[in-house]
Amino acid sequence: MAERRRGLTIGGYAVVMVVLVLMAIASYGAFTVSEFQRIRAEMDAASQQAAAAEVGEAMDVLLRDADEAAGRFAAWEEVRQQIEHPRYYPYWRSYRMLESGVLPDYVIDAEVYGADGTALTELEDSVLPHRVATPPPPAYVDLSSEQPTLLVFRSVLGPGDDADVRGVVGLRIAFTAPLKRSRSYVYVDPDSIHFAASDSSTLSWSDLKSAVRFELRRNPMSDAVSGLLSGTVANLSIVLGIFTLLLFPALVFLIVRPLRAISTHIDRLKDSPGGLVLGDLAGILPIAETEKIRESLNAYQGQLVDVHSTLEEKSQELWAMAHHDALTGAKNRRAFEEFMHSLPQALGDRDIGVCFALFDVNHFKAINDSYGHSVGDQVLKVIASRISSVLRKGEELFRIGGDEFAVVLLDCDESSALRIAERCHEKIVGHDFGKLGVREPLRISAGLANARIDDLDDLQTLQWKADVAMYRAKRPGHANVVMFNESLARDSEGLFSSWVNTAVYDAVVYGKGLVMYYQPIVDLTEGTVCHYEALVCIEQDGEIIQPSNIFPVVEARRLEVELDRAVIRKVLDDLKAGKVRSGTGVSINLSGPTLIHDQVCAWLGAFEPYLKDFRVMIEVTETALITQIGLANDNLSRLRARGFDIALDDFGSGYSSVRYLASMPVDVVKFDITLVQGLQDVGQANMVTHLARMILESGHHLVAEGIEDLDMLESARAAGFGRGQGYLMGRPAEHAKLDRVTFDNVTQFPSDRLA
Amino acid sequence: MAVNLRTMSLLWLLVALAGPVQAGSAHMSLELASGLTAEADYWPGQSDRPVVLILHGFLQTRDFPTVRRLAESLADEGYSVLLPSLTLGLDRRRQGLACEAIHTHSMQQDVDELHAWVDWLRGHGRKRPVVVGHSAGGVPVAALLDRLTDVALGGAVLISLSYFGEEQGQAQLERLRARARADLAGNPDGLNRYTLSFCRDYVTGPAQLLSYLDWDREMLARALRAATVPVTLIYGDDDPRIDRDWLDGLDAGGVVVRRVSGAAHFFDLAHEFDLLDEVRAAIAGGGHG
Repeated sequence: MAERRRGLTIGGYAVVMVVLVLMAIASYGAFTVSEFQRIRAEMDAASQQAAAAEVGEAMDVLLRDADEAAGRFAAWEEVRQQIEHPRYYPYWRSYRMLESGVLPDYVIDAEVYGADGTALTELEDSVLPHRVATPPPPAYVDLSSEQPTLLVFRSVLGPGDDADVRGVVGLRIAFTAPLKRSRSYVYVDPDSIHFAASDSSTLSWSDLKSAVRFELRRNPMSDAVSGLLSGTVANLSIVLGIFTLLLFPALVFLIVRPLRAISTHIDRLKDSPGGLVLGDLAGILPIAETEKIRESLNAYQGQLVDVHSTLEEKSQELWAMAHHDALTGAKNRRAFEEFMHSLPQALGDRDIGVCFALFDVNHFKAINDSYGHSVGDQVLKVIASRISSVLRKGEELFRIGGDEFAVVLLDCDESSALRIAERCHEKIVGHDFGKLGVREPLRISAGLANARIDDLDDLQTLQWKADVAMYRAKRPGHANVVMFNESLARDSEGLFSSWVNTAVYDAVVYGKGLVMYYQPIVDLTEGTVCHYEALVCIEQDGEIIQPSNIFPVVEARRLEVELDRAVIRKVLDDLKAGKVRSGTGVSINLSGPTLIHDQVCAWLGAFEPYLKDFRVMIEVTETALITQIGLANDNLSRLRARGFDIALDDFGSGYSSVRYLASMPVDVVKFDITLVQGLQDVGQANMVTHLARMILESGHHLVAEGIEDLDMLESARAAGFGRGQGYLMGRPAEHAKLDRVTFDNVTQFPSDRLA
Repeated sequence: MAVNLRTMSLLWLLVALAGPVQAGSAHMSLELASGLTAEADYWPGQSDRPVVLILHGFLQTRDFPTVRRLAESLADEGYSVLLPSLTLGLDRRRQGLACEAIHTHSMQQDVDELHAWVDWLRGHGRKRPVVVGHSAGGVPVAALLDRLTDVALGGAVLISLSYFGEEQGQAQLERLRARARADLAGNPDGLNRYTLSFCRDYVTGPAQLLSYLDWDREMLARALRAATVPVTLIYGDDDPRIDRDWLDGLDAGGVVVRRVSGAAHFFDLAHEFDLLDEVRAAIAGGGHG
């Protein structure tokens, strides 16, 4: 994973911000100056236009004034007097004309002309032409002299209304000075007014307007505003720049420093979670926000520590909950597996013996179902407590299954392990479970296996070995505490062999290798075969897997229903194939799960066509019956109504509750071999006989299982058993061709004994 | 005197109504024997009311307020009024002539023009017009009285009468006459700067100047006393520009002198009506008709 790209530090951002602010200030200043220059240029252009208009207007006014002055002069009666009587004209012109006040003072000279345009008198000092055209020409400018002058002419009209032209007057005007002072110029600097040089000695007035040159009047207010604005912009830029530069260290001191401290503190927290308190950040100028962050961080840190502690406690609780069985207080399977996984490392190089003890409660499911889960739970708690009380210091009890407990005994040899296990058994057997309402005696089976700690392979197979030993301990007729040995491994091969597992699975699911053996159930009086009990075997690669190895696998894999259906199909096939003699019957063992299946009646309905030639009996164990006994009874009742016989198998091997027997729809009760063997015992014979008689009198047929010799046959007959089953009457065989047996006719069977 | 009055009277010509005139008045032009044309305003009044000719002061025109107001007032009362402007040597003169201007006119020319206008009136059935003169304008009137002995006039009313040489005093007047005479002897056509009446720079020829200076107070008194028609002098007793003693002295000589209390030389302000009353009274008392 690529490292996440880091952003700028707050100091970097501060520098960038300061630079940006300075750039913004500079840009704003430049923009303002540029705008001001632009506006000033526009103002100058506007002023230039206004100035040109101002000068032009002033020149127009001057020309009009000059023309009016000429008009007034022409209308002056003394002028007409001079035209009519020019005798004294030189005198009048010299002493009267300019002194009279009729002519403006900017008139340099004036001349009076006769009607023919000739001056009244030719005078040397005249600066006006001696002759003018009539009518007089329009005003024009004379550029021949150093100072440009304007010459204006007007006709002199006679008095009265005839308005005859009596003469002409002409004025020469030095107009530059009056033009400059004729008005208060706003835009034009009057002293700068001048006229461009011309190639011509005369110009019309309009041409002169084009030749006028001037400079703009300096506007003190505009200059002052310009200076003030420029100064203001410069000062403002300087002040803002200084302020920004001062802001930077302030920013660093007030914000960057505390944030760095907070960042450093958080980094330290990563390395040292909890216990660190962030001190004062801002020194003499505390910033409320950073102080708030500091306080919040410390408060958060405190809360985090509290939460961490709580989480630690919760974690420990969760760990304990995850590794302990809530019911019994013993460690659970997860803890067991972790313990087993870590065992080699925990033991290290110590050369000690390790013994694995596996405990299982006998018939715990029946207890659970009979007395309820609450009682079952209490039983488990007592058992865990009893076992734990025996264990040595440092040894722990694991509950690794429903009623399965395990203990790993360290530095323990076989004899010590056996003693500990037997003591556990004694503790449990000696406990009064009647306080919990359990009336039946409660037993446990214990399987033990030991290994040397330096033998890892041995260590890894300990649990398997203990399983094998416990399985042996659970089998009837064996001690409750069994230590594993190699012979047990061979006997239990079916249960733990992979090829056996595969063969059982193929047989159950696909019917492959499934073989039925039939053992006769015989009328003990007449020797007729009542039923043949169908016993299942599996042939795989020329070897036969016996029921003792099939059922553990089926039960472990929960394949009871599938096996029963495969058996039903196989028996039907055998009936079709004629392997069972007509007129007899077949007895089929069904497991508890099949009995309570809602399709069991449909499956067994396939036998109905054969009921006219065969008796079909369903064998159930009392253990199977007491599991959901209501549903099981309903199904059995329906089957019974449809012509099937119902047999209670292995009666006496379990709890042998007469209450169950009374409530079950059972036609036949098959006494377990242990009870039948009890007929040979003086102490038990009487009780078994009375039990048989009681059941017989209740209307049930009795079958004595395990009759192997004539003595047992006679004892059974004497006890009232009407039917018997055992090697004496016949061993299981693939074909059931006999309808009657003699009691010395023993059929050879490939195995020891199946029933 | 070289003026041929008969010839001049024959040359007068009523030209026409011309130009803007006052309400009820007519603009009259009179071509003079000198070739110049004189102008006047004329209010033809009721036939049974006297005819009055009003002459303006020295160098003024008929537009001078004192004479124009008086003329209009009399015209309003039914008098026939003629208000001329002396040409002073300028054809159709309409502007006052400045002292510094070149003055080619003379007393004789002024009297000739006045005489021409009287003749013009008489030619229009106004046999005996009363001639009114204001200030120095009274001098040509007096000269006309002196000239006309056939009782062609109905009378004369002279308002704020002043005579030439009054401002200078007798001694200075004599020196001025002497100088003028000398100038006349040396260069009779030359122009000179003199002092005349209220003009301190009066540019004229010596003969022209002397024509006015001849009409000093003695000659003027003699003419008035010798007049064959009633003569009334009206002056304001607040007029510093007149010789009141001389005027009062004329009263004793058959000339009626009427003083208007508080009035000044131009009878302006409220004295305009006093003047009117006095003129009307003078005309009536004089048996003018």
